[in-house]
Amino acid sequence: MNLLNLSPLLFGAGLAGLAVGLYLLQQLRIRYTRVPVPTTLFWAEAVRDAPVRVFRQRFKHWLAWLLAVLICWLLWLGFADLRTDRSETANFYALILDGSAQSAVGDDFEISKQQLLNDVRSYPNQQREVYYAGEHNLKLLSYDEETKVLQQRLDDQQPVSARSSVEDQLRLLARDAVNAENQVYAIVYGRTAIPQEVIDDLPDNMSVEQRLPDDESDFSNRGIVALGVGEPLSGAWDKVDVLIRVLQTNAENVAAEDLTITIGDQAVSSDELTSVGDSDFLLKDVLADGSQLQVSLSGEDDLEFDNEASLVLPIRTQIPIYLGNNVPESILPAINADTALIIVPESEAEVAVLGPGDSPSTLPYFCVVEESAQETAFVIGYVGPQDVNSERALDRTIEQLGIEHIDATAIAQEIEREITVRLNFGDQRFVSIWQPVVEDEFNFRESISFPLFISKSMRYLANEAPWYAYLAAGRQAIEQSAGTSLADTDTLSELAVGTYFVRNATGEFELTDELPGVISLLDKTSTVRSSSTSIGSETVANTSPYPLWELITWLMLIALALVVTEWYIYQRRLMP
Amino acid sequence: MARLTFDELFDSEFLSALEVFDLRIKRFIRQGRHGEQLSHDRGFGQEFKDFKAYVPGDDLRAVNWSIYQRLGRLFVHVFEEYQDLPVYLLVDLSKSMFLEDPPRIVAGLRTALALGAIAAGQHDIVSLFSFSDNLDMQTKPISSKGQLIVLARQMAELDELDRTNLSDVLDELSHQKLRRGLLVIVSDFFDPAGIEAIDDAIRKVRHKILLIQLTKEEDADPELNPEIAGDLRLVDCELDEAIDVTIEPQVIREYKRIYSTFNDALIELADSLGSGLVQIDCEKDILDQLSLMFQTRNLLV
Repeated sequence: MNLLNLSPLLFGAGLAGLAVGLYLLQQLRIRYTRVPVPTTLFWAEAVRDAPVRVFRQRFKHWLAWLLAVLICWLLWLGFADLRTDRSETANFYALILDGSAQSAVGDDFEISKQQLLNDVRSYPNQQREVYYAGEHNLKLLSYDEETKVLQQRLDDQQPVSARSSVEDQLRLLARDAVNAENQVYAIVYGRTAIPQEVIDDLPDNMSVEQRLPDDESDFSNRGIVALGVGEPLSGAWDKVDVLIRVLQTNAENVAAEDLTITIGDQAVSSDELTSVGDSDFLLKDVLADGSQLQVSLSGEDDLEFDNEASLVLPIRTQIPIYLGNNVPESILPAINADTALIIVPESEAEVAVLGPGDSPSTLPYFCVVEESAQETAFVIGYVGPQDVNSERALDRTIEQLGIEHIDATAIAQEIEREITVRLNFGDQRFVSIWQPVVEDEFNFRESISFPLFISKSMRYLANEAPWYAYLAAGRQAIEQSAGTSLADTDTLSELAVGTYFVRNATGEFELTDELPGVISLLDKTSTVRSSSTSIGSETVANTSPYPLWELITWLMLIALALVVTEWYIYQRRLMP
Repeated sequence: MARLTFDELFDSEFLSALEVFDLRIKRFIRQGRHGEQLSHDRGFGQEFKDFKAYVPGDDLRAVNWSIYQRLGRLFVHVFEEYQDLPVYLLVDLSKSMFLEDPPRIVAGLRTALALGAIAAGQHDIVSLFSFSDNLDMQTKPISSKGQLIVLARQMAELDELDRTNLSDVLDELSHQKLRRGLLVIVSDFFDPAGIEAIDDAIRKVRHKILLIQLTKEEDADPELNPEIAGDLRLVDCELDEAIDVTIEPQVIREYKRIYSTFNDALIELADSLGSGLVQIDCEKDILDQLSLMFQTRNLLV
């Protein structure tokens, strides 16, 4: 048992001070009231054996003094904030209200809000904070603010169509808790699923509890959990295939007729949808012209946010190229095989492909040169200044062109020269390569990476606009381009780091000036409440972990009862 | 409230309610003119009492000639003789009578006027005296109800005087050559000299005594006064002396005991004098209390 607001020494000193102070006041408070009477004959005789109190005379009014001291001690004790467990005074409580789409089901959000309001009063102001995990993490109540302001702040909050940011908040708390000496309790209000890895990564001095809404009515929902575009199976360069995935909580599968699809202003017949498995639908060969594709799921269910999804289709047009007279024959098959390329006269071209002896071009160009014409096997023209990011630009450009897939060692052995890459910073894009590297007698020409290198080089030179396969709330936007279209998942993740993060909430969103996008919820956890670890209600103590606040109430009530007692005794003239 | 005005005192309804009451004393002292007080002396009143042998000087009109005719001796009628009773109303005008609300003087004057009205109605001679530390006689005694207005005017003009010194006043009164009669003392009897001094002085007075003690309930139980609580400086309104008191149960108990002793002493004094003591509660209706006092229609002193 200890005191929250005062040290034991100060508390004891306060008790003693109050007792002494009241004692002195009891003596000093003698203020005779002047009352004229017809005669003092009888009084004079009556007080002969009961002399009046005077300052510093024998203290007689023990009952009055004790009552006053008791009342003051109780108030002092209430101020000191008595606690029964010392460890509790060092605890910190982070109360997190989930405002994501997962809380937008029925009255879940209101119930969670009320639970939080009920609980927050039981924590000392100095040991708790309240967060709202909606689109962003928002601190609703700081550690020293009065609890009563919380109600109004909560009134302004409603669940949003967003993935839960609770786990982000937990990670932030965990980061701070690592260096903390006290115990940190995170209490999550809502049904949001907390990934097991988040819980596993918590430091030893931090734990998480979850308060689920009491309302356990059946959750019935279906929603769009994936909407993305990919390369078409038909191989058409200017088209994409669109994948739609719909999940539901019950056994009934969603039919194609339940989906309404529009591209721009044009409705797409459900007949054009191809069902793939139980939950996937494929819309094939959609023209990649930058239109907005919108999918709606008909019918009523518990969650509205996942009944619609949209995306902006990529813009994919063929790249016009001009072939110089001396272009080596060895690269022509790769150019002819790429449906994204079309050979045009130089005046109509965006990219020039040149061979040894061809006159230079003002267009971005791919050039095969004599070995003596340049010091390194690959010279790449990069548009941009040479600065601290140059090395990263080189790495990124090598990735974009697929050069890392070339077996440079083998080529170097065959031509008996070192194979290196150099980046030229300037205002023109170009790719210049030694002629021996592309000769038929070397294995690079025969490798599967050769057409890839040619294809990527053309797209690099044409500065093809990137596009996004999907944009989901709370998930990274991964740029699709010549450099990433064939990369594996790990590479994609690495590429995404440091680039763009999509915001948590749904809606139209402009990533860059050239690249608008529409973010959809696409959250399987919100739609079917599965495949994600929740710590569950069984670990949650429904009773407040800090019930002793009532002690103050009791102290006040006892003090009040004593005041009433004192008044009663005073009225009965048993006490002066 | 200092005193009663004439209109408040001379209340016809109040006075008419007094007509049913009689005031009698056990033995009347011979002297004075005819009145309604029964004398032990035989005389020439209205009602026949006895016969006596004629002696020279007897009124010949009283001779019973029928007896003379039968017996040949002269006898005269003897009648009951009624004489008037001098009633002296001695009203306390000390400061203590004017202090509280309502002041005791109000009940005191009403009671005195009531007794005066009853006596005057019996053709007794009513004289008004006031006192505090000195005796002060008001002029014009009255002897009939028609003169009651004079008595009321005298009372209305009475004003607050100084401290109570009843023993000296009684002493002074005993030296005055007044016809023996009934002395009605209207006072709270809060004499600083104490009951003993009053006792000594009152025995020198030759009159019959009727003590009217003006009281309040809080005299006996001071806790009824809401002001009597806590630490008090009680100021004696007559002596201008103060005494500091811490009101505690012990003090209250002691006060009650002392007051009870004072009251007992006053009653004992009245008993020893063979006189009456009437306690009038100043906060209750005077007429009701007088009705109780005259329960058998008349008050016998």
